[in-house]
Amino acid sequence: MKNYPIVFSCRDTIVGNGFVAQVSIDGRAVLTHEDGGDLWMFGVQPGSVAGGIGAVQHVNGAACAAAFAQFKEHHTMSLFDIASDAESFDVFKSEVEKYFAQVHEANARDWAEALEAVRRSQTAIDDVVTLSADSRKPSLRVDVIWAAGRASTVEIEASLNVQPRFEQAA
Amino acid sequence: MGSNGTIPLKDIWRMLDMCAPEHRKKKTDHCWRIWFGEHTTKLPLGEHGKRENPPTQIGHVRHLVRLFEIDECARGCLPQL
Repeated sequence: MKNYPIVFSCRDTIVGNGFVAQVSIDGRAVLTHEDGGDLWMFGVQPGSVAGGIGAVQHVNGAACAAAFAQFKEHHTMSLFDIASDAESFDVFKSEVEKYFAQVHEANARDWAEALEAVRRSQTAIDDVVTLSADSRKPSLRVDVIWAAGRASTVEIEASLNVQPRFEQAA
Repeated sequence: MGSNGTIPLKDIWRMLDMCAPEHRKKKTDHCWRIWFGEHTTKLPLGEHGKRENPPTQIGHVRHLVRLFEIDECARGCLPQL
């Protein structure tokens, strides 16, 4: 089994009950290549999310992207569920903050050990961009795009549409 | 979706009853939400939407048991882990 430290960014526009919100996350995950070939991303922060694929012989950019797609889908489903239960934007924001605040401690230890190993050996996954772990700390921003009686907290423009991305921390 | 191993959801519930008896769960529109102690996590409903006993990818179960810190007990109930 081998672990890699991953940082990722996702921006999701979520429709809730009487509001439209945008959730922007910079998070951390551990990419684990199991001996049996499974390649999984396990959330560090937010810590409740995971996703992966099977039968991976060689860890490269394409395989990581496929695992990340599953991870990202689980994250988006989590936001959909929070939106379903929230009766207002303020409740949604508060619940997203709780969701993001949960750190998976076991995965955080694996992430830190994997980062140390990467820095020691100067290794990188083929076709995956590397990024200094110190340059992107976990962060969350929840904006109102639309809600009755409230002003949007972001400029409503096409630049809000951003592809999810991940990098190997180094 | 990959071809990695799966565990029937009923077996996961049995494991949680044994290893985390105080857990709570709720089926939502998109997943099962599970609480134990101060932690909460989610299991997908399965590839084909809502079903009673969908196969759940082992990775999701590994993630859950490590979050809940019930690894040892869970491995006793689910040797696939």
